[in-house]
Order: sequence, then C-alpha cells, then structure tokens
Amino acid sequence: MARYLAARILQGLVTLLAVSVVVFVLSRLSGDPLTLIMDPMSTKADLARELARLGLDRSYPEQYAIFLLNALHGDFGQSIFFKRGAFEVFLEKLPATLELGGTAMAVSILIAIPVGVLSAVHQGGWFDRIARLAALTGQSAPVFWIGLVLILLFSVTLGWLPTAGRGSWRNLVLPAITLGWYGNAFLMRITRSAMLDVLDTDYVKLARLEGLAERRVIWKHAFKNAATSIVTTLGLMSISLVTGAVVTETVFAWPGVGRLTVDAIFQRDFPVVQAAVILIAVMVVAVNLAVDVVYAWIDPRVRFG
Amino acid sequence: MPWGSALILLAALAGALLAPWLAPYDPDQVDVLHRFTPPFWLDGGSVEHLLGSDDLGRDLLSRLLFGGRVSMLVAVVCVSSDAMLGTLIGMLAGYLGGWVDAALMRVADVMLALPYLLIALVVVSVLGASLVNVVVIIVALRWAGLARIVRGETLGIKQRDYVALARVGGVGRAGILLRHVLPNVMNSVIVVSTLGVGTVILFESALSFLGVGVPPPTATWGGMVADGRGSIGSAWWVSLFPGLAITAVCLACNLLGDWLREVFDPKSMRA
Amino acid sequence: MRRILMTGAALAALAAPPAMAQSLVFAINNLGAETWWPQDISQNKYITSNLGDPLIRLAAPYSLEPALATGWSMSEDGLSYSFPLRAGVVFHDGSPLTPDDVMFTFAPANVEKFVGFSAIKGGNLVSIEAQGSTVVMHLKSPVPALMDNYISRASIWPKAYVERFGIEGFNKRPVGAGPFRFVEHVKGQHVKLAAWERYYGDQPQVKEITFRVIPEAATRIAMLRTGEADITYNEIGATTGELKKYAMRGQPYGQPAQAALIFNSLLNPERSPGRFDDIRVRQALTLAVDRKVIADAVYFGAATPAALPVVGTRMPFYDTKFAPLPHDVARAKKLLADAGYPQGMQFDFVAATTNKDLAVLLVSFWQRVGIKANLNLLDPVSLSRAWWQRTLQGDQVMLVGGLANGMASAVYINSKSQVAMYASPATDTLFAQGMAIIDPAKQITWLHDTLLPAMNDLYPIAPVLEYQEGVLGLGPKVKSWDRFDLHSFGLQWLVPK
Repeated sequence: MARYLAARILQGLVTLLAVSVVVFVLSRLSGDPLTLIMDPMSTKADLARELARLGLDRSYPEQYAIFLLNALHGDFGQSIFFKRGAFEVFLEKLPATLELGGTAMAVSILIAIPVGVLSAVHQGGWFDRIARLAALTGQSAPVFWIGLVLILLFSVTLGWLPTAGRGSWRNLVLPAITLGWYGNAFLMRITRSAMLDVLDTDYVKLARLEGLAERRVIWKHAFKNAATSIVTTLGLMSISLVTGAVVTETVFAWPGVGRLTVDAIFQRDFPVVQAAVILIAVMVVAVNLAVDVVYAWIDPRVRFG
Repeated sequence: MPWGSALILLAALAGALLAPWLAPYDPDQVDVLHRFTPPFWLDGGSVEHLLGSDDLGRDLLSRLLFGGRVSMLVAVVCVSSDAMLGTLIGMLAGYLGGWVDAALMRVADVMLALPYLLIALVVVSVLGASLVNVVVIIVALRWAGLARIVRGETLGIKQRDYVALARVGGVGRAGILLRHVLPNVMNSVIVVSTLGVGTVILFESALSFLGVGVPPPTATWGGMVADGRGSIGSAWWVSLFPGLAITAVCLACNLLGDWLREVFDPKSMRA
Repeated sequence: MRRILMTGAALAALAAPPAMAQSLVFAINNLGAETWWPQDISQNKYITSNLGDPLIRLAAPYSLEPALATGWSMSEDGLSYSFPLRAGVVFHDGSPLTPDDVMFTFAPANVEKFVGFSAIKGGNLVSIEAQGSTVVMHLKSPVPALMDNYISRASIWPKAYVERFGIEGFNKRPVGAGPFRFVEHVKGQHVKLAAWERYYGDQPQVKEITFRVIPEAATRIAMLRTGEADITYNEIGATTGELKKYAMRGQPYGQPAQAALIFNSLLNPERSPGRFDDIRVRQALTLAVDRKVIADAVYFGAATPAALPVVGTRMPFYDTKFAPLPHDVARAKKLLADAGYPQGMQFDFVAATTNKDLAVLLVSFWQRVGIKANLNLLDPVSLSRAWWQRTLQGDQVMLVGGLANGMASAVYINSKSQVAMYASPATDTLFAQGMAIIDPAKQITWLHDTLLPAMNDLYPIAPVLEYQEGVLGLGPKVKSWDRFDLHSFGLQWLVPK
C-alpha cells in the first residue's frame, strides 16, 4: 500500500509540474498586460522599463525557473493588477467558491440521491422517467441561460429572491440551484445504476426473502452497499463544481475564484492565472488521489493491477 | 429505443442539412430598422419573421436553422475526433503498457487536471476566436476522459483467452487491436460520444457567453443565446428559441446515450 | 381612526427636515484593482476619485473648474503652475488640507509611482514648493493639456495620515477630501461610501452610496428593474436600448469617445504604399455605412455619426462646416472605382469582442458596395496589443475606440506614441506644432483654424460613431443626475427623489 501510495503521489507531482509548464507557456503566448497598465501616451522606452520591472523581459526558461522556485515556497508572485500576492488573492476568493460549490452539492445530494434511489426501485416506471427527464434537463441547457431565466422568474417577476451578489442565504439560492442542477443528472445516474446493481445481488434478494420491510431493504441494505461509488462520485463532482462555477459566478456576481481567473486571463495577469490554474489542478490531483486510495483500500487488486 | 429523442435529433439534423432551402432569409442579413420583431403570434409580429428577429434585425428562424448547422457540425466533428483520438490512445496505452502507457496516461492526467473552461479562454486569447480554433480546443481538452475508459477496458480485454490465442496464432499487434480490442470497446465509445454531443454544444455556448465562442457572423445556437441575453427581459424570443433548441438536442442525446448505456451495459462506465 | 392616523403622518412629514435619501445602490461592471492607493487611479478611478478631490476638476471637455485649488495660473514659458489652495478644506479624518499634502501628492518621487502620467514622469516634474497657501509646480518641458490629462485626474491625499498608517493602513481605511467618505469595502462585492458632512463644495444629497460589482450587464439591468440597484453603469452598447424598454433613463456619461477605423498599414511612418493610402478608399468605407440608422436604432441616440478624429463634434469650438460624411452608396462606389477598385475590395477586419455588434453592422453595410470584410474578433487586450505594439502584418482594418477631446487626444496623430492611429510626416508636423502652443486660448484657436481643416483634408482615419464612454441607467429613486466630474462620478450632484 505504501508503495502504491508513493507511486501515485509521484505521478501527481509530475502532473502538476506539467500543468505548470502548460499554463506558464500559454499565458506568456497570450501577450502581456502592458496595454492595461500603461497610459496611452507612454513611449516605447516606458514600455520596456515596465516590462523589465515586471521581469517579463527575461527569457521564458529563466522566467519559468524563477516562477517555479518561488512557487515551491508558496509564492506565486505579485498580481500585476491587484498589486498583492497572487496566492493571497486566490485564497481570498476561495471561500465564496467553496460556499457556492458546497451548497450546490448539498442541493444535489438532497435531490439526486433520493430520486436516484427511487428511480432504481421503480425502474422504468413513470417516476423513473420523469425524474430522469427533469435531472437531464439541467444538464441540457446553457448554464448562463438557466441562471438568467431563474433571475427573471424569481427576482424580477416574483420578487422572492435577490438577483445577485453574496450575502445572506437568500443570495445563495439561485446560484446554488443553477450550479447544482447541472450535477444532478450525473449524481442521479450513478446512484440509480449503483442501486440497480446492488438490488440485483443475492444479498438483497436474501434480505427480501427474510421478510424485511421493503423500505428497510432499500435504505439499510441496498443503499449502504451502493454508497461507495456514490461517495467517489461526490469526490469527482466537487472538482467540477469548483471549475464549473465560472459561468454561474459571472451571472450572479458571485465573488469566487472562477470569475477572478476569467478576469485575470482577460487582463493578462499572469501570476493570478498561474496561481489559480495550478491550485485548481492541485485540488483535482488531490481528490483523484484520495478516490484512488479509497478504491485501492477497498479492492486490493487495484494496487497490483 | 427512445423514439422521441430519435425524432428530435432527426428533425434537428434535417433542419440543419436543409437550412439553405428552408431558411426564408440569409441568416446574416441585418436590418437595423426591424430589430426585435416579435414572433408572428404576438402583437407587432408578422409572418415575415415567423420567430421574430434579433438585436440586429436578423431573421431568427433562418439563424436558428443555420446556427443548428454550425452547432451540430462542431459537436459532431469534436465528438468524432475525440472518439478516434481517445480510442486510439486508450487502446495503445492499455495494450502496449510499459512506458508508452505511462507517458500517454500522464499526458491524459494533465489534460484532466486542467480547468478546461479557463484553459480554453487562455488558448483563445493566444490563437484568437475562430470556428477551427474552437473545434481544436474542444478536441484537445476532451479526448483524455475517453482514453482513460478505453484503456481500462483494453486492460481487461487483453487478459481474455481469445486475445492470448490470437497472439499465439501469430496475429500482429495491429490485427489484435483492430479485430479483437476495438469491437469490444466500441460500446463504451458510442455511449460516451452520444453523451458528448450535448456537452460540446453547451461548452461552445459557455465560450460564447464569455465572448470567445465561434465568432460572428457565423451563427451558432450557443452564440445566439449568449447574444440574446442582453435583451432577455424584453425580447425573450431572441434567446428562448436557440435555448430551447439546445435543450431539446442535448436532452435527446443524453436520453439516447442513457438508453444505449443500458443496452450495452458497459460496467466500466458506471463510475 | 384612519383619519387620525393620516393626520399624524402628515404632521410627521411636516416636522421632518428636508428628506435626504438614505441610501442608493450603484451597480458597476467592476471595481478595478480594489486598492485605494490613489496612484493606481488609471484602474479604478471612478471609485477612488469619489473619495479624494483633485486640485482642478474636469467637469466637461474644455471645462475646468476649481476644486481644492481656487484657480491656477501658468508662467509665460509654460513651465511653472501656481495653485492657490482653498481655505477651510478638511480631510475625512478631520485634518485640514495644507500645501504639504499637495506637495506630498506631487512629490517627484511619488509621481514616478503613478500608473500612467508618463508626460510628467521621468523627471519632467522637477519640483513643487509652497509659497504661503499657494503651491507652485515646476516642469522641465511644457505639457499641453496638463490640467485636463493629469492634474484633474490626481486626488490629493493627506500626508500625515499616509505617513502614519502606511500604504497598507491607507488601503484599509482610505481618506480624502472628496464629497464622500469611506465606510466599508468587502473585496469583490461592494464598497460603501457616506456623504461627507464637512465637504467644502456642493453638499451631497444622498446619505449613502453602495457600489456593487455586477460583471454581467443583463444582471445589472435586472437589478435596476427589481430596485436592488438604483443606478447602473454600462459601457455604451446594446443595453442602452434595454434601459429604454423598461422606461429607465439612460444618461450618457464620461469622456467624449469615438469608434474609428484605423489601418494597420498606416500605423508606421516607414511604410510601403498600400491600398489604404488613398483617401478615397478611406472615405468610401465611411460613406458606405448608414451611421445615422445605426446610432438611432442600435444605440438609441446615445451615439451620433462622427466627423473627424481627435476633435469631437460636440467640442465647444467645433466648426460645423465639417459635418459627418453622409450615407451615400453611389458616391462610395464611385470613389472605390476612381481609386482603382471598381469590383470592390476584400480585407481582413479586426475588432474587439466587446464591439461585436458594430463590427457586424459595418461588414454588412460594406457588403452592399462590394467590399468583403473578413471579420476577426479579438479580446480587447489582444486588439490593443495589435494596435499599440504593431503585432499584425498586413493591411488589416481595425475597429478601435479612442477619445476625441481635443488637445488631449492629439497624441493619436503622433507617430512616436504607441496609440498613433495614423503615422505620417504631415501629422507629425501638426502634432509638434500643436504641442508647442502652451497658452490654452491659443491652443483652441489652433485646433479650430489649423487642425480641423487638416483632419478634413487628410481624413487620416475613418471615425464611425461618437459617444460618451458609458451610459448610466437611472432607476425610479433617482430624480436627476446631469452634472459630472469626468474623472470621478461626481456623486455630489446626484439628486434623489
């Protein structure tokens, strides 16, 4: 197990290194932030001076080496736009994203898991059909459009909820639904098929034969066994909620990392772009590692596979 | 077989293919004096623009037909390229193993670890927005997921007796991959690709929302919804019709993919 | 019972002092860098400048008004400026404004740290001194439009406060002498300002203003409709029409700006002859477009056809004989034919994604005179880079935005500046000539007598539309807002209902 873990961690580090090269090169190729921070009257000499001040006049390998050495110490450089540490800027926006992502996930769990279980139990019935249709609709429409339609309906027309911004729980409702609905179909599908698998096993059939109440069979016996794949799915979903929040954050003016990174990309604020992409990749690698380790722990064959 | 889904997809496909004959107008023809004409059944609407006109006075029906063409073309090209790339890489990695496997899977890891929408934005700011660039970006960012699945299945198939027999019988690597592995991974590839159509259409619309999708004057459904959002309160039809088209086609693909999944039942794809 | 209650209410209304709206919400597209450091003004000038006032205010193009200084005078050679300071001005921390504060703000070492301000950087601002309550600034070489471009953009900040709390402390609790004082700032979400009771100028009529950052324009409009926002700031464009639909007022705001066509092959002084050297081709591109229709239908009158670069038609000294070119397809075709393109022409047309609608409209109008423009959209920074750093090869046509406020915009015809829209010995000579004139009154005469006719004869770039940078959407709680400071919002003139 220790060896497997070590190998997986090494793989993760190699992945992160490669991600850092990719984002470094791509952002450098996208130009420079000078047009945004210089005033139009400045001359070529002013531009050159500013480039040198930002360290952008050095060769790419040199810039990358400096960046990497600092990043290993947790220093992702100064944000060109915010004039503060890029890591600090990212961390400042992270709680908002986690709050939105966490709520969206809670919405998904509360809706998708029970519906998935019931769908499996009533496989092919009307409940199954309607539930799947409703879940899939969330995965079938542009997120920004759903968001704007929800605003029009619940904020403008009915006046029940605030339109945008972060604050009380009421601000959280619309963006969480918008973001959570997208993941619903995925989670529901996994729950449903995991349940179908378990319901088909002798173990559950036996429980039924023993005369246990159907409700008890489903929730106590079947669901407990289906839970492993559901939990790993939740792990993978947590990533897509962080990276997928870009559009939702924009529509609802939610001050999270997605919007921060989009702005940074448009402003060519390289340190923030690098910090955000690499830190998101760190989260992805960590979650994948955790999922793999859980798998390996449950199923020893994986370790040697 | 979900007949409803099949019907929707057929209708969308027919509309796209026959767009030049069905569309009443040139989809890019602007008419600034007749902006935001409502659909014909509303006050102020007319049969001249059955579904109304958009913010530059372009006929919405015509744009819907031509936009479907581009949206579905993008989806089909991306999904089939991903299918080929992902299947090839997945099979090679799974079958050859060793350093080839390690190298290919590390590349796949990197692609999967990148926040795809953000990376797409960076790449567009390097290459500029164009139809071809959007397709290239989507393909580059999406093949890895399928490659993982195909690799996993290939690993399993490799252990089977008939593969071992074929190998003993002197069948070359290419032969085994084509004759024995490929047919067995096809189910997963088809299911993933069907589900992928919707994802690609939505991805393009998200790019349009952020201003870097397929550029005008080319109409795409995603771009139409994105353009119409500015007037979503007053001229709702501009974003509603393309939005409904996207939803219908994506829903149909998702239902079809779900159905195929149950028919083929590839266990490896459940998690 | 009801009667009594009503009388009570009426009595209460009579007894209440003149109502001051408690609080208004202002939805804006972004808060900039979210630092309060006044040196960063090029990025979030709208927010910082409401806290701190400049010495001289730019109320409208060519309309300077005294602010912290009661006026200014310039030496004959244009190298020394005197600013007599207003007495009795108090910063938000209660300390009085002194010459020290001004000298601190414009200390040469501090000026070097300003974002932008290149004309007074690099040692051009030699020294600043106090003579009683008057501050005198000395330059090495004269800077035309010094007031409009620089002095009116720089808020004065309190020396003692900054020195005591440092930049960090200042950023947490910024202090200025402007009409509103700082209350609260939640990063990425909102900024709350409150009226400064001891403001020296016109008293603010709103007690509290909360700026909220709402990046998506459609969401801002929705907030205006629900009453969650009372004012929105929108860049000029499609949302202008949306405001009209909901019977919200759209108030043009900001510097006079133009959308213009520039030609990549004409950006370098050393160039080989090309298609767009011919003025007839440039004029044809303008004549082919019905700009009046675009301005009315798409911008709802918030834009008008533009006539000449650098000097907008609404400048007080504009000469109306230089009217915008009309929409004349026949003449456009004839000019093209005369220039050697009877079959029309084809070119690559580069525009910013934010200017998509206008670009698409231009392409479609050009199509009608046989011009095929291949539209290539870039994100705004890529476009500025292509223009400022000349990264494109070829004779593309670019749709760009620029200011058109007279002398301060003359930089567009100077081939040495990175924002040159047109480079030629003729325009360089013009630029040098104009820059040599230090006296503002003589500058105006020169603009009127020399520059306008020269621009008309050269037609160096093809201006398309002119407008102000943005449009303020005003909700029902706002009575009126029609006076501004071009470098801040001028919140003290916002009149609530």
